[in-house]
Amino acid sequence: MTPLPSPPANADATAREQAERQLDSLLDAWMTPPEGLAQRICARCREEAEEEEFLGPVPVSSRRRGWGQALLSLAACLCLLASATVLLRGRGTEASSPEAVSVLPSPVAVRPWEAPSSLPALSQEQQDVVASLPLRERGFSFQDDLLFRRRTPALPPQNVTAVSARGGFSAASSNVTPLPAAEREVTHVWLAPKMLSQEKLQEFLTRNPVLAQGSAVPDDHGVYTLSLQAMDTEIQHTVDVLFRDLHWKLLSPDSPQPGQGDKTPVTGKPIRYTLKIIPQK
Amino acid sequence: MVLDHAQSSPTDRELVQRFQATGDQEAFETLVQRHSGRAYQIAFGFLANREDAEEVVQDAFLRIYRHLPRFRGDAEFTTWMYRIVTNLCNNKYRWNKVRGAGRHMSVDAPLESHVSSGDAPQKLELPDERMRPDHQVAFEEMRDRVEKAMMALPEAYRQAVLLRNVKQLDYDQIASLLHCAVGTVKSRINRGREILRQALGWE
Repeated sequence: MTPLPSPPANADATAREQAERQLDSLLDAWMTPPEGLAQRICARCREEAEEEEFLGPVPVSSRRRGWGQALLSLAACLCLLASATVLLRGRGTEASSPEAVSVLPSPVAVRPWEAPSSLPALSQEQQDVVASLPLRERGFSFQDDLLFRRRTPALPPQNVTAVSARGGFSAASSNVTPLPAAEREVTHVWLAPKMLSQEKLQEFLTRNPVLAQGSAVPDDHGVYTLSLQAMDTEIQHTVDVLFRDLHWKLLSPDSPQPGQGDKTPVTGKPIRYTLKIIPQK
Repeated sequence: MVLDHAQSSPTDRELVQRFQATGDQEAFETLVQRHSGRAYQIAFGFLANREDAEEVVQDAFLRIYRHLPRFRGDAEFTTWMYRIVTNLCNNKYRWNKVRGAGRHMSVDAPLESHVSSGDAPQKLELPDERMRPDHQVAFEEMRDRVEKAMMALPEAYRQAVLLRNVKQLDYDQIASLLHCAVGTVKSRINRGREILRQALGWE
């Protein structure tokens, strides 16, 4: 006959089991998801969907581009800068005579940049970052910039404006108010809905040591800083690609502005272009 | 007439296909309703912080939302989801470590960050509704001690102990999440719970 377990051992086992169940209950309580979690997630995803609609009629294939293609766009843009640098420096030399002018491309090729009717607001953290930048870099808000542009008369499509390769655009020769030429050093603050990963950014910097300097690690405010050395026309192209292809939002009002290359005088001089990139959450 | 439960609710695969084919938001939101709780518990298992866990889960489902059109379905949706959550947890953990973020655990912190100013902070819900009121005080005291003991556990043990309590997560899945062998998982769970029992004075 099998002896029954002694009462103390049995009681210990029961107490042990009870303690284990209580521990499980306490851990379960500690790990309980907060109320409304699923609703908050769905709301955030709906905001994402609405923002995609806000950015405009982007082809589905473009919208679904992966990081690889986005990086290739930026890298190809900067490879173009490198390959075109020598060529344009040569052309700049040729165009140094006072009589040299460059005529704007055909008005048919001009694509007016339409300001979106509404803009997503910056988070408080992002506003703090912009507010902490030096006044010259801060400029005024993106919304202010749009207001400024709405009041600027558009270039009549039938007009052709002559610009000097040496700069010094004469407003009297045109009935269009020109944008100022880019300065020797330009700093732009960008809001990036989709930021490259640190690994890809570091890879990009490593592969372009001459053209690009910066850090793949953001500062304490989460802002990335990247500097490019190129001609003003190449910087204009970079700004256009960032705005049009990567859907980054430019917060600074300084030239060059996206889609405004035809209004911005060409100086043929190198520019040190610094990007301060705020990843948008 | 008995309804076949399996037929009344679509599978994850069906929901994913519906979303991919038509962009059906409702299909995606059903996936969120179904899996966000467990995703939260996994994130909490790694981070042991409510705010961080919710942030990771929100980011995870945002990434899932963006990339779901390209999801090929070679693996189960939940496997893919777990991988995204754990990757984000690792990033979050590294970020906190580099930035020196505190791991303050406030026992009295409200469960929801959206509790209105007029409401009292919510306490952890008692899991056993049959508990007598006079036992609830003792339970809450024990809860406090468990939380403190959990935060004092070594990270590897704490993660294993917490993930064991995530429903429908077996040892193989825990081992996959923690990148270690099943035997190691069991060992960490046993040792972690033993330390907890000692800390609570149960041994």
